[in-house]
Amino acid sequence: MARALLLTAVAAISAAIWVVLLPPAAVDQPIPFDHAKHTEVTCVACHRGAERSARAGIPEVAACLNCHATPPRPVEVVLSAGPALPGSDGQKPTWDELARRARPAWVRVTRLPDHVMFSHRRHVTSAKLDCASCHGDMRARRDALTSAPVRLDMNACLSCHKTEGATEDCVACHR
Amino acid sequence: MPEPVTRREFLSYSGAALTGVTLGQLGRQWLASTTPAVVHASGSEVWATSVCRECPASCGLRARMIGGVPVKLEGSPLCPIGRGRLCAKGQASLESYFDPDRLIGPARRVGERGAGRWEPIPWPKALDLVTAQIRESVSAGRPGLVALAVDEDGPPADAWSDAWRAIGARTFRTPIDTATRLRPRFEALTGVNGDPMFDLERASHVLSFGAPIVETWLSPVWAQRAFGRFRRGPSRQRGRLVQIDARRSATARKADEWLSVLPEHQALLAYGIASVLLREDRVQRGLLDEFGGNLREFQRDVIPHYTPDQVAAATGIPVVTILRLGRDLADSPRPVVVVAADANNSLIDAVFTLNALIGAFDRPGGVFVAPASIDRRGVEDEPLEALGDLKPRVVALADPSPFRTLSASPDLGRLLEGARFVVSLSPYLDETAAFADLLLPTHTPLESWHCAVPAPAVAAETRSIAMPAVKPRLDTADRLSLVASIARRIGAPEQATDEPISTERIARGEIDRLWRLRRGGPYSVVYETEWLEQLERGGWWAPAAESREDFTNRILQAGGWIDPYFQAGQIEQSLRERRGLRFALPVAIPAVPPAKIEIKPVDGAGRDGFGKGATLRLVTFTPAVVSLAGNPNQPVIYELLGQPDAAPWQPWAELHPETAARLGIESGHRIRITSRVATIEAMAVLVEGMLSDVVAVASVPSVPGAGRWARVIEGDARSLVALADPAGPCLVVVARA
Amino acid sequence: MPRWGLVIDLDRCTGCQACVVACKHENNVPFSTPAEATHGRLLTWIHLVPAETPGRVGPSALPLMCQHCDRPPCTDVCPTSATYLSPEGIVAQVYPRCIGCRYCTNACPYSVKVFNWSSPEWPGAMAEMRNPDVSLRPKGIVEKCTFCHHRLMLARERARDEGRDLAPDDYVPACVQTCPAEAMTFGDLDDPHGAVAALANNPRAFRLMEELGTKPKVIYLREGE
Repeated sequence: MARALLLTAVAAISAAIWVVLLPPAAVDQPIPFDHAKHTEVTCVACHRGAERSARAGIPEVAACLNCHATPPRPVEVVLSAGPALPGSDGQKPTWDELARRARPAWVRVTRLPDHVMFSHRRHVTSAKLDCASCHGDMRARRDALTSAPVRLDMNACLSCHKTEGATEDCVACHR
Repeated sequence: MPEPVTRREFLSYSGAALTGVTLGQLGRQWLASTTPAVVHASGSEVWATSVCRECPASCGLRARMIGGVPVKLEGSPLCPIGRGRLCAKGQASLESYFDPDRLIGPARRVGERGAGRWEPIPWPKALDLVTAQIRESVSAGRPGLVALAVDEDGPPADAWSDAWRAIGARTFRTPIDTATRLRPRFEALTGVNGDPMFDLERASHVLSFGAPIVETWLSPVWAQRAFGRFRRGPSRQRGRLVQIDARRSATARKADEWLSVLPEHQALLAYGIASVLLREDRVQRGLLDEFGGNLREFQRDVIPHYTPDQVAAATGIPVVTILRLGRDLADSPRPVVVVAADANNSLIDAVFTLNALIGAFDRPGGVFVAPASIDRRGVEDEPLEALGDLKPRVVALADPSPFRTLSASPDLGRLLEGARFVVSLSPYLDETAAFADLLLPTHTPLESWHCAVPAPAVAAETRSIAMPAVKPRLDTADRLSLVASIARRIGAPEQATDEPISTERIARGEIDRLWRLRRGGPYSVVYETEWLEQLERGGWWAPAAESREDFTNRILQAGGWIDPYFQAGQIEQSLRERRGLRFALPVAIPAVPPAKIEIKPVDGAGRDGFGKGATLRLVTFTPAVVSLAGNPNQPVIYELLGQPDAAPWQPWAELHPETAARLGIESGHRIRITSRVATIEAMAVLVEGMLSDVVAVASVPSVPGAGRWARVIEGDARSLVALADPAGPCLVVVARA
Repeated sequence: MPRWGLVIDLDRCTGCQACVVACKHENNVPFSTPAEATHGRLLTWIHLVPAETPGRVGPSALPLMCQHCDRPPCTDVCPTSATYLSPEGIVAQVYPRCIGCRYCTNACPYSVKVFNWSSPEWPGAMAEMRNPDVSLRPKGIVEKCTFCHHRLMLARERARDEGRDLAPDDYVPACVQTCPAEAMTFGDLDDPHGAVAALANNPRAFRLMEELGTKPKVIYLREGE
């Protein structure tokens, strides 16, 4: 009897360790975006929502048009491999068209639980927080993120809120 | 020294650990699958302008868009009707856009009519079908084709009728309950061919004959705002409201005094009050002395025939009450008498007569003429009642309003069953689909262009104009473009060469017309609208834009156009030109008071023959939250039904507590209501002060073939009266179910 | 620090329920089914209740939501501190902490804390109409009116961006914004020049079940003369 209990306990503990401690599985991103190559522009040049709204957002391909006159290699490979765009009649679309109409299926990797109401605008514009404090140093990343680079938990939020004298009212974030 | 680990133990523990890891991995996969991929719409917040189409008031809307998806509707602060406020129906209309049971494209009926089985067909084929049927019916001669009902007013509504008439159709329109319905009787008395407008906000005393002021009256959001200010405005006395109503409506509940009088007896009471005013010489002399017209004759008819005694005997209202109603009305500084838009003609006559006697015409807190209503093109459609015994071969339906309007009595079901081909041009599965052979789904309001003439209520000329707030979500079409392409296929002469009409073209055309008027401007905040009025009053006008394109953009951004210039005194001017008031001479009071129904409980009227029943008069009413033209499939609306007395998601019936007691019915019981043609069940609500021989039943559309929410509603009061004798009162047997 | 309060003038209120719909759409409150409604499991954060007023035609319709008491009975009984009185006077409910024990629903004399009996579900495309500023509450917890607290957070953020203080019109709950009869007034009860403080001292003002000592911050103005 004791042995059976012991075995069950071993199974349960290993299951728990597997679920909790293992880092989240890597995901596939549609375009192998190289962050390190883009260090000349600021984060908000592409993640525009960060200064203006709650969500920073993943940039549309249209944002590439601001700098790129021709499609960058990885983008072209991915987009031309995809299904033909409606209305294109099989013709090869121009870079301009391609960029405006493409909807790559990006996967969000840095996500908070649904009940945490985080506002980028509040932290970026008002509190002047550095992006790296939550997202890690993206300037060294040579890929699009395949898993969350920094583990975000409430202790991290609260320690900063305490030192900065920001609100510690629960409903400020949870509602 | 510890015991060495045996081979058996080693295998057991590693097996357990492996099982744990396998379970853990399965758990991780399960957790990953439960985390929703996209929880919310994301993207930046944008406010889009649109127009509410749930009733003819046509309030301006703002839709909060997140990433191109509307998530909330608010009233537009620029719109002079709602000034940023919006009613329950208007807010709920967001659910119509997202309705999971909306039509996804054109469909043809398969199987029996009304069985609700459809097959999708492509647009060109659908238009061919309807064209072939119309060709056949036109060659068969009139009245081959009938187009029914658009529950709105404005250039697109007129264009709809024009397009149909161009291919030989007769067009009918549902009577919409705006002040325009009061116009013929108002004109008969004053000679003004314009819409009357009640200045509720500044009135000190309101005597209301069945006017649903806080529910659906004339322009509901305007009426609610005006009511709020009438009650408790800054630096003014609290306004007093007396409601004459057959049932305890929401307005009756808000009133300081409620008198329960059946609609057919309300005119008697009104003339009784007029007789008190004349007899005691409490009338306002000003206008009457100058433009008395046939006042003398009227006085001679009314005073002796409508004595308080006789009126009391006929209506059941005590003599002292009638005297007090008259005196209170005359003693108040700014009284006004108001009436429901769907009241009968003699009651409307009596109400305007009272307003003339108390000097309410052209006075603050009284009755004015709505600006620009005088020279506007009148509706050329025939009223629904004129359908009569028509046997059309092809019927086109724009919205379900003919089915929902209780005062429109013709038996539509029979008419449509007799028709060879019925086509519905509604975005939803509603009553029109129950009879249709072909569904041509149109855009919902948020996806449409708008150019509506709002129901007359505010003292300004207005147009609510907006472009689509969102792209069409499904394979739907613009209603006007559809009629235009049908007409083109038929080969209507004026359609062949012209640019095809569409709501967008009509709306842009109207903006061009407004630009050329060189007056008014885009909807604007209160302060700017008042400034514009001051300018125009001084003979100035500053163009709102430099070019026509700029003007168009500004109108579309603001959601409408307003000319706030308003001139009082139209009634007096008309009377001066026409030599006085022409009072309608009331018919003599019925010699015998109408018999009150004696309540005789009979056994065995309930379900399975048990329970006591009694014959009562039926009064049906539409709850304020039920839309007369919109989608029936809005769950939030069904949750509002019957609050705060009855339960949501079902119709209810109101009874006098004593009557209920005699039938063994308590509040909350389910009761059966049986008329000559149908039986329905409803939840009983007991109302103190009601007439004891009346049962008032809420009319909630139950639409069997419709969406998932509309089809679960049971007990449609409309079925009780569908074939009832329109002349006499409708009698029903009420018993506990 | 402001102390948020709401004044409802029952003489103006018409019982039209525009506030009920506004609240449902603003706060992602799922709709019910007829079966749930008959079991009394209808989920609303604000609803009408009949209230007798002497001398009136019948019971008036009184819009009832969380009264945001200054001495809330519900917070004392919460075993997980999921509900508490926030520094600005809003009775908050932290959903991830709530274990659904329903002590607070029983402690609340106004019965305005509601237990949700079903998962928040919207069929088909309707899921898109949810407000991204408000979380979805999982099944089996207690939810309630928050005075549209998310609107306050957004208004503060906007004001700070524009480099100014919060103006009185910046923050109003969804019910107040839509009220067609203009019966609801919202604002800071401690601001002596504010409209809410003035109305709270109106002779018609009363608070529901004042005698219990809950000190509600929703103030009603009596109907009638």
